[in-house]
Amino acid sequence: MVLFEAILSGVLVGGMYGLIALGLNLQYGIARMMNLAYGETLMGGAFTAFWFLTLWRIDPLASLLFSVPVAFCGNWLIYRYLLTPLVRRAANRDVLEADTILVTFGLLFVFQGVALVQWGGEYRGYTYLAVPVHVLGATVALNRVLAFVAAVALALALYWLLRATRLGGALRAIAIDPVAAQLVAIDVPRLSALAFAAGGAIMAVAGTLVSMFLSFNASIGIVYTLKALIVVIMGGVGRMLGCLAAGLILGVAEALGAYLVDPGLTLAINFALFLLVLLVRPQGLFSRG
Amino acid sequence: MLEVENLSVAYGKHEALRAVSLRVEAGRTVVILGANGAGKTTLLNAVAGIIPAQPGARITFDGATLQAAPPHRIVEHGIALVPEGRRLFGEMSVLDNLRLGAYARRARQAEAAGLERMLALFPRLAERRHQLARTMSGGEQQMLAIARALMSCPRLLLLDEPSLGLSPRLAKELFATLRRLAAEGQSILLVEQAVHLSLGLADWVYVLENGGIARSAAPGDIRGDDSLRKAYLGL
Amino acid sequence: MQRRTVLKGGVSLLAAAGAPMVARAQAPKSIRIGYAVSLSGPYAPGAQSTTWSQYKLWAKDVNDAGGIFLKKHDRKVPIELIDYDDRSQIEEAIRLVERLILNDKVDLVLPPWGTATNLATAPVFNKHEYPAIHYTASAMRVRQLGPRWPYSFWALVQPDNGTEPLAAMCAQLKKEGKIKGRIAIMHVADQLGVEMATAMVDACKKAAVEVVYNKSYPLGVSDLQPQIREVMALEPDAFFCFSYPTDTFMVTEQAQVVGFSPPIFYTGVGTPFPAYVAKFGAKKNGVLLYGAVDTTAPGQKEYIERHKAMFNRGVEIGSIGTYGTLQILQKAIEQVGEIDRKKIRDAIASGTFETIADVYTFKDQVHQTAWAVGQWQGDEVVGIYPADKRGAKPLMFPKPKW
Repeated sequence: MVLFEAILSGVLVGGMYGLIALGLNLQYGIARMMNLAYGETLMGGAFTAFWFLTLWRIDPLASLLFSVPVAFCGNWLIYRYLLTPLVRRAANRDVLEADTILVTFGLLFVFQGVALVQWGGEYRGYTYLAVPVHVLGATVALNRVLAFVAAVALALALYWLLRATRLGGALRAIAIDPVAAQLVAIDVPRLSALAFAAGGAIMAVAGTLVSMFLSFNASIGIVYTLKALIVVIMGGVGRMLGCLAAGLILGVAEALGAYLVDPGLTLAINFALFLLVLLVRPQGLFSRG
Repeated sequence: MLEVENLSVAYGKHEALRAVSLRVEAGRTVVILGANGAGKTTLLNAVAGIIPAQPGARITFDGATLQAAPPHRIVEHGIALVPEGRRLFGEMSVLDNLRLGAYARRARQAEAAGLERMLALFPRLAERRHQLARTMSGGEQQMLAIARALMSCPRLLLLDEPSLGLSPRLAKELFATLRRLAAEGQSILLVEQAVHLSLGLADWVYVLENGGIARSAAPGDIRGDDSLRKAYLGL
Repeated sequence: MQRRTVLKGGVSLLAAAGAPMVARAQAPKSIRIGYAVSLSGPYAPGAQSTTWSQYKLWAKDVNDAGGIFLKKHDRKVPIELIDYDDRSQIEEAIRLVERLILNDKVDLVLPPWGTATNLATAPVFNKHEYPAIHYTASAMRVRQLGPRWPYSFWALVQPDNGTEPLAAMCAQLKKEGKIKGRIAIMHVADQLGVEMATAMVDACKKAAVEVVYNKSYPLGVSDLQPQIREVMALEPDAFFCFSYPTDTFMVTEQAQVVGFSPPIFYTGVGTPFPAYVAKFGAKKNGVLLYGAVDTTAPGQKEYIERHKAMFNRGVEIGSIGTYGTLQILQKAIEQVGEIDRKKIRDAIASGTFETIADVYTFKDQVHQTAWAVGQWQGDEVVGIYPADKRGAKPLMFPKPKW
């Protein structure tokens, strides 16, 4: 029973890992921008939920109506006015990658600094839907179940979008070869901006949901950026279901390792799995080719 | 139909194209011959909008000005490029590649009809419709690249060395297909090194040398001019 | 134009040369106090609320009162703060402390935030003989290194005397038949967590209480429920989690979700934070925690109001304690009556200091009777152990069910 509950916990945590990685997968996998300030959007979503609840008693889920559009527009502006000029300037892909990493790294400090000044540095948290739910005899918290459900729903929705719609086909084409995509009349700058902005919007959702059960502060973003990056690389860049699956594998491996061996090992298991994937399948677990 | 005037392109300090002017009339096949590095690919890429032209260039297509337009707009105007190296979406199936070919607004209505036409025109593609593009042979990939470009219902088809890397037999087959397209009225601007094959297809020929037009002539004149062939075409 | 610039330069040079002579006779215009604290990077949140904000508030309080009274000059001299951001990097903190001393030539340097940063910068303070009262540092090493670093003082409770009272408490409750004396320990796999857990196991051994579970979890863990379940299955009657803020919040919430509510429930850093209050409300009642302050200490209520006015947020015991160490420094300076770092050091080492947090005395440069254990009782963190301290309250037992 304890074993089953450990696995179940791992599945829920894994869903959360997948959730925080989906947006990065859009930004890095489709729009091809390594955004180191990615986690700051999660931080923003978390703080929005927190302040809406604390100041005005607005339900954290309702705060999504505010934070998602704001994150979408904010990320769109970042792409359009900070990153697009780099595309024009860069001589090649490597230069572009280095430039974006530098710029978004700077952005990370700007966002973190503003949040620190604005909201202070202390940890924040609130209690919402921290009610036990019984699943086949095991007990889990409803807020974590909610994050898991959102992760699965979003991953499936993105998968469907990319596989079965004209827009999704265009996005995949951009991911594979942006020049060729232009040659089939795809407005690459516009759709890349859209993918980048949508990635930010998904991260705001993740921030809202994660803040329901994990405490956070102004400098928490980078932690989630790194986690998301590991999941994206493990699952395969641009692969939405791969992303979810990699998150689940990590979550369950951590939980099982903690239960069967030692809880102190979870981080080690995490990185061991990551290294193993890098060595054996550097293109990601769920990528062809 | 297509008029290019005073087109220059520079990569940094290196001038790849110098004041090139040329015309393609509707329904005609125009061939641009030239040795490696003569600027043939640069010319097509500049027309397709992938690389920017120097100020002073004028590219018009049936009266519409193209020189500052982004590539996806140029496709919407009815110009499709089959680029050097084919640039297929390797991770996608043949069908997906073809469908993306019809992404242009001008072609969406005709997607189903276009698909049918392409699969008839290239039976090999019909057989392999579910295969990933990058797993196909060079000849099949070239067919798919042409079919993808045709899916956008172009009024002018730009082809960048389609025979490159193909066996002589496959190259011949390919040119037979191009001839069929031309016979159906497709306007074509073709860049090639395979002189014999392309001369057989051409209505008019430009010879490009060191970034400039060295000769503009009917194919018959080129064929008969031994010294020209030796000097400019390395034959 | 050029000549005038040269002339001006000459004049200011002359003035600069003459300045030291004049200054010797007069009182200094200000007492220049520098510090390097993490204002960006991962340490920033803790450093900002516990350390940086207290330095700012203290300087304002002192200057609002006209400054620190220097007997030698028979006048109050205001404080001037010189602040740097060490960007959460230890090498940077070391470099900046040296820079403050050598380049900025400040009169005093205040310590940085965090155990690792404090331990790493302590040799610099000692090399240049600058006294420092380290508050945000707790490590067993302090016991051995204290005597070697005569200018460093350690004001916080250390892992050994922070856990001994916990073991003694369990032994006592067992003797009284109130608990069976089965103890479960969880701790974060970081220096403080490991040292606390090790010290706790030792203390339990000495007090003859049984430790049924003792395992670590990594920093940044995202789920502790399986581990809590495992602990729960062992049916301990005392639960100690030597944790950091995120895991403190997590372990408390998940224990509530699965209904794990032993009569003794202890969590580490973060338990007294305002966010903990906001998150758990009345459920915090009875939770034991690391450290405390004397809530009856004179001046504390007024301090809390000034803090609220300046930062518009609540305080936690760490900020009160840090402010207390600044009061020690101020009192030591006033005792000495001049900026003489050797004398100030001696004054700190030998004095007894009444502050808003505690009454401090240093033996071997460590505050031996620091508050070890506090408890949420109602809406207040009260000091429980050492039980003989002024302001100590009796333990609330058992902790009410969640």
